[in-house]
Amino acid sequence: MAEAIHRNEFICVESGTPSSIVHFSGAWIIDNAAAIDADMSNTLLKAGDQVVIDCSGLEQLDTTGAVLIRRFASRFEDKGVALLTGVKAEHKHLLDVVAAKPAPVETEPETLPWYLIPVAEAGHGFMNATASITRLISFIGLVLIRLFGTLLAPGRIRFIPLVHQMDAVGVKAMGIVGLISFLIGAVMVNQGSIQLAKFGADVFVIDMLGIIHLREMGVLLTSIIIAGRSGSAFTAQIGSMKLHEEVDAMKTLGMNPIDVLVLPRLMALMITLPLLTFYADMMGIAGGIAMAWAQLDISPGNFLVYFRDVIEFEHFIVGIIKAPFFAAVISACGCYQGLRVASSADVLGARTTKSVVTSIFLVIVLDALFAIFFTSVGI
Amino acid sequence: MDDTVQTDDVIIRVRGLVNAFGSHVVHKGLDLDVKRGEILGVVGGSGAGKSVLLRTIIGLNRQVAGQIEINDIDQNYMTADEAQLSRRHWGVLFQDGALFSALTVAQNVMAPMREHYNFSQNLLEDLASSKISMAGLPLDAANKFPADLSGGMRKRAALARSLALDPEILFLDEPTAGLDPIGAAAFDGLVKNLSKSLGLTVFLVTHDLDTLVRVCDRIAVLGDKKMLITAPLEEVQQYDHPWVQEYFGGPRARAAGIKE
Repeated sequence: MAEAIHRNEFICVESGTPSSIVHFSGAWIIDNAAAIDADMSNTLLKAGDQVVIDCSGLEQLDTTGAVLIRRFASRFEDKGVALLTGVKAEHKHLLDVVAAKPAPVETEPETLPWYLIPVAEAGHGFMNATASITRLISFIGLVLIRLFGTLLAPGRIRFIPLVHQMDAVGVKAMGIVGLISFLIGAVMVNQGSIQLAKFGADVFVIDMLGIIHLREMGVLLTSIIIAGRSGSAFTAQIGSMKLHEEVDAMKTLGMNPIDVLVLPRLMALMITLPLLTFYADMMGIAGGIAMAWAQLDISPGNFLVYFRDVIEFEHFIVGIIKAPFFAAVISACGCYQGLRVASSADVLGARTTKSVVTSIFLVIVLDALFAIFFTSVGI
Repeated sequence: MDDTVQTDDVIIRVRGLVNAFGSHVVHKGLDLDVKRGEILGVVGGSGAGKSVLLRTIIGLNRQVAGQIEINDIDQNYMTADEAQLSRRHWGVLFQDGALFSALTVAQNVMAPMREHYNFSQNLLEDLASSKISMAGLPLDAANKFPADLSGGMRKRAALARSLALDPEILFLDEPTAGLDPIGAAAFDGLVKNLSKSLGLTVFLVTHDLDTLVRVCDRIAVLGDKKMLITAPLEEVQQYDHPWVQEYFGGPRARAAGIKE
C-alpha cells in the first residue's frame, strides 16, 4: 500500500514506483479555488517526476476547478510525465471545454518600462499641446465663421435654445454669483479697513473696493464661477451627446453641430456674462456698504456720495468690457472639449476637467494681457 | 430517476408579481417557473415588460408585490450577506454589454473574481484567458479595451465576464440584438453549447425568432401583463391568442423555419 506523503481536503499525494499518484477529491469549485491554488507548489514538490492524476474522488467541479486541474497537469508535465485518469463522465465535457491551455497573453494594456515613461510623457505632452493649440485655433476659426455667417443671416439664430441657455447659464447662476460677490466685497472692506487703519486712512477702503472690485474682482470672480459651473456643463452635455453618436446623427441630418450646439451656448454666455458681471459689481459694492456700515460706521448714504466722487466711470467700463471676451473663451473651451470626447466615460471626465482648467487659465492670462493694455493706454 | 428530479427542479419561481411605474401597470399577477438546466426564452411585444421582468428577477427593480424565489431563497427577505452570496450564483449579460470602459477585456473578466475571491494574479490571468476563449474570443482581445472591439466581440467579452464566477444561472438580455445573422447564429450556438457543457440555466429575453427556434427549450410569452403560456415551441404555436398567432405565424417566423 502506497503511503500518503501529502494530504489535505482536496489533494492527496501517494508515493509509488514508478509513478506517484495524486488524488484530487472534494469540491473543486470557485469557492475553494484560492486554497487549492495555494497548495500547488507544495504538491509539485512532494510528487515525483512521473505522476498519475486520479480525478475519481471529485465530488463537484466547475470551470474554475477544471482550469485548476489543467494547471496542475501542465505544471507536472513541465517536470516530467503526467497522466490524467478516473475522470467521471459528467466532468469530462467540462474538462474538454477548458482542456487546451491558452497561450500566455497580456491582460494589461501595454506599458513602457518605468525609466522611459517620463521621457515618453514629455514627448506626448509636447506633441499633444501643439496639436491641441492648432485644433483649438481652427475650432475658434470655424466658430467665428459660423458666428459671422449667422449675424449676416439672423434667421439662422436658434432663439429657443439661446433663451434656454441664457436661463441656464445666466439667471440660474445669479444666486451663487451674487452671494460670492457680496461676501468678497464685505471681506475686502473688512480686511482693507484693518490694514488702512494703521495709517489712519481707513476711509480709503472705499476707493480700494471700488477700483479692485469694478476693474478686476467682479469680472474675474464671475468668469471663474461660470467656467466651473457652465463650462463644465457644456463639456458634459456635448460630450455625452458625442458618446451616444447624437452629434454624428446631427451631421447626417444636415444639422451643423456648431450651429446647433456651440453657437447658442457661445452667444448666451456672451450676452449673459456682462450682465452677470454688472450684477456681481453691484452685489460686491452692496457687501462693501454693509460691512462699512457695520464696522466703520459709514452710513450707506455717505458711502455712496463718497463713492460717486472718487470712482470714475472708466473703472466700471474696464471691468465690464472684458466680460464678453472671457465668455467667448469659456464657452469655446467648454464646447471644444465636449466635441473632442470619444469612446468612453473616462474620456468625458478627463475632458470636463481639462475644459475647466484651461478656461480658468486662459481667462487669467487674458486678464493679465488686458491689464497691460489698459495701463499702457492710460486708463 | 435521479435525472427527472434534476430536470423538474425549479430554480427560479415567480409568484403573483406586480410591477408598476406610477399608474402604469407593467405586470399584474405574473407567475413563472424556470427549471434547472433549461434554456427559457422570454418573448413579448415591445413594451410588454420583458426587460422589467429580468431586472426585477435580478434585483435591479423592486416589485410592488409578489414573490421571487431563486434556489428556494425568497429574494424579498434576504440578509445583505445572502444577497451578496446569491449574486455570485448568477451572471448577467446586459443588452449592450455594460463592460467597464476603463478596463481591458481581461481586467473586466477578472473584476468580479477580484471582488469576491483572493486569487493569485497568475491564477486570475489563467482563469480570465480560459473564460475569454470559452466565450469564443481570440486571445489577443484580452488586452484590448471594450471601445476597440466590434459589437459582436463586445457581446462575447461581456459573456466571458458574466461567466467569471461560474454562475448557475445566466441572464441574457437581447443577446443577439445588433449582431449580423452569422454572428447571431454563432452566438446562439455558443450559448447552447455553454449551457450544455456547464450545466447552466439560461433566462433569455429576446426578439429573435431564430434564437427561439434554435436555442430555447421552452418559450414564455409575455402579454396582457402576465405570462400567457410557458411551453415548448410546438405548444406555444397552438396557443390561441392574437399576438401569439401573429408572432409565430408571420412571414419572419416562416423564414426562421417555424412550420404552420
